[in-house]
Amino acid sequence: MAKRDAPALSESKPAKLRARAAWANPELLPVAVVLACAALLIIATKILNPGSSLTQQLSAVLVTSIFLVIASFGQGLTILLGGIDLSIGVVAGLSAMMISVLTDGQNAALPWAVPATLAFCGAIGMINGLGIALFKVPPFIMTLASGITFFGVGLGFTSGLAQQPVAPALQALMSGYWLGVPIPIYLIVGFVIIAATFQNGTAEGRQLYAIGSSPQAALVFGLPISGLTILAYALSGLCAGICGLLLAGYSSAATLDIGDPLLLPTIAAVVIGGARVVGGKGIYVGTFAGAIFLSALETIITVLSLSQGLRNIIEGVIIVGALLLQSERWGALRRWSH
Amino acid sequence: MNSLPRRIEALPRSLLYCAGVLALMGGLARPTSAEAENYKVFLDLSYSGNVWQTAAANGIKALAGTPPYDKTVEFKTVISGTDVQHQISDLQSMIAAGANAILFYPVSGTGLNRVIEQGCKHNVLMFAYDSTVTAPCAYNVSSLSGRYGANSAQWMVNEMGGKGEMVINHGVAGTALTDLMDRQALGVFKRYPGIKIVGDFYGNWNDATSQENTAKVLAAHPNIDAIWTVDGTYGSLQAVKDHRPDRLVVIAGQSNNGYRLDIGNQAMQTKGLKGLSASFGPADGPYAFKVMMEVLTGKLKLTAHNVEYPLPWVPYNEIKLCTGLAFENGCNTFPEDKVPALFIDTALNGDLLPELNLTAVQNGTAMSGATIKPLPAVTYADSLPGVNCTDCKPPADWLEPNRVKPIPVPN
Repeated sequence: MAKRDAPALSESKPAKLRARAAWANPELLPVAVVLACAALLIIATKILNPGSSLTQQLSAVLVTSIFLVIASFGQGLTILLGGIDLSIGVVAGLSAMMISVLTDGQNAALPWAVPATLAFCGAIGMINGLGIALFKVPPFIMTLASGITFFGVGLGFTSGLAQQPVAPALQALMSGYWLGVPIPIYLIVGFVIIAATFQNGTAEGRQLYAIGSSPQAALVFGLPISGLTILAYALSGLCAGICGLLLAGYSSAATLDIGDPLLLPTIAAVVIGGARVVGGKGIYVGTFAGAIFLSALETIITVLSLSQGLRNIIEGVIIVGALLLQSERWGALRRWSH
Repeated sequence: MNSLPRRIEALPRSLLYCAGVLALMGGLARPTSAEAENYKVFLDLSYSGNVWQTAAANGIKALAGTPPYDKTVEFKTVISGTDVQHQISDLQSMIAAGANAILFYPVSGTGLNRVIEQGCKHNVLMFAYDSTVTAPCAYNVSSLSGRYGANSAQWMVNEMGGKGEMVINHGVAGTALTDLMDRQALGVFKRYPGIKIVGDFYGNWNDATSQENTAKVLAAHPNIDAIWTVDGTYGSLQAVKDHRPDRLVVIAGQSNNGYRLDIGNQAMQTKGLKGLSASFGPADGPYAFKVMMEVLTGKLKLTAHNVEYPLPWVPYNEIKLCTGLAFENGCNTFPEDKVPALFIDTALNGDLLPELNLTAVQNGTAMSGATIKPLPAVTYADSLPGVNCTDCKPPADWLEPNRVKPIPVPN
């Protein structure tokens, strides 16, 4: 178990085995199951509404999942370390507000405003990481406190609503099509490739697994625990920042609370995707599958006009079910796959 | 964000507590309203960072800074968050600190009753705005009795000709407002068998959430004809514009400037857009402040405790662009370059609040050269049991439309 969870510690393994640990991981099987469930939900929605188009259903689910797909990558990295990032919603809101203020509706400002906004969001994440890695502040306290603080800063400067319009190019990015496919779907594909490659295909990504599995062992092996912790939280801030940019473009307007609904679903997506909440386990493709599943679930719940109570019960049961499966989770499937 | 711990704007909470304790320990006599030349007035907000709440708070602050109140009112603002216990604690501190009047956005209709009664016993005027409380001694200033749910639903039914597919964008699950509006609206829709509700969701009064959910419903039901909302209207309409730009919908809801510009746009009207901009306006807060100050200064004597703030009501064919910074000469919408799309136009009211303009409600500062104008006669609100009173009877038709005449049910 430890070897599979901590590929960075298994440098002596043959390259073939290491590749298997990263890519042919048995964890891919539950990911496939989650994706299959999402597909079934989309098909069920189509069956329930014969007049609708399956392509449009799929497109709606994917386009509206982009925020979760991106933000939950950052959340997944922090959970991989055994932490959590409760500032994601605030950072996304700040990003949306900042891009509106900096661009003031002008596309010409985007080349510098986008990097500036993302740098700011990454810096918030870095502050979180510094507090956690160097001052040993518990992650939920650190990220909650920084979220409150930066929300206050945003509120002081903006009163909660950006007075400037969102740059038209950002709006076009989120509502446009290329070759008949919504542009956000291309963005999802690109992001998933980059994120999965980082988390499961780079030395830094593999070292995060090692730290999450056993910080003490990682320390013995001389891994840069502090640096990697700061990196993970900085990436989480960066992802929340990207998410905020896209939310501003999608909504054509920015408010400080625009990212608030994202926080809990990012945690749910990571858990449903098979990550262990105490860290050290989970692959990004699983988180991606969790995000798509949640988006498909939300769609069918909306279309079925279920009461809010029932909606909450369904979503709660799914999350708890995913957690319960963690202990003996997929054990039989893993054995079967071997 | 509403769950974030409360944030105090004007003064640290610890100072507030100290002031209250000192006032009690020192036996300092709190001046009654009749004795006071200067009034100590508190504004207790529920949460901040929300466009609606910010606009309401700014309007109130601007009025508090407008002559003569800029000289006669010692005005302080506290943000209590969304937790009842926190708001109770803050209200207690304000009473102890010698408040003459407290204007508050209640986070609970019944949970604050004890502290409200405590304030009344100390001769503090307790005024709730927008949301209401059931404490008999409190004053409620609200549009709840304007029957938005029933009237907007009937307006939509009339525009739809009594038939078609529609989507309901509820507000926030579990809130009294959402429950009341749903009961009124669904009661109207159910009377028309040709109206089919094909989807509903809780948009949480949030435009981004509303847009996402509307997009999902549109994928499953590409032929919807109408969307009923209380808020999140701009987001819902954005989703329709993105996914079905050539066939728009009948829609009712909030008063964001971008939404009003859209429903007043003739090109969109030719594509089927028929919109109603109504719902609950942030100007309710400043209006409540004016009513409260007139009572406090003895200029107005209320004969009932429930005052109605007139329900804003602007259908698509009554959109009129403003040329200046205020709602004057019947205008009700600003050009695109003056305000952001989500600015809520019902933060202003040219008739009841001529002291406020765009700058005032955006910055919370008094309008240059303005002085407080006397209010016209107030309208009293219906008694709604469990909403603004306890032992009371509602009007027999309190769930029915009273502003829009129903069309006959089509054959």
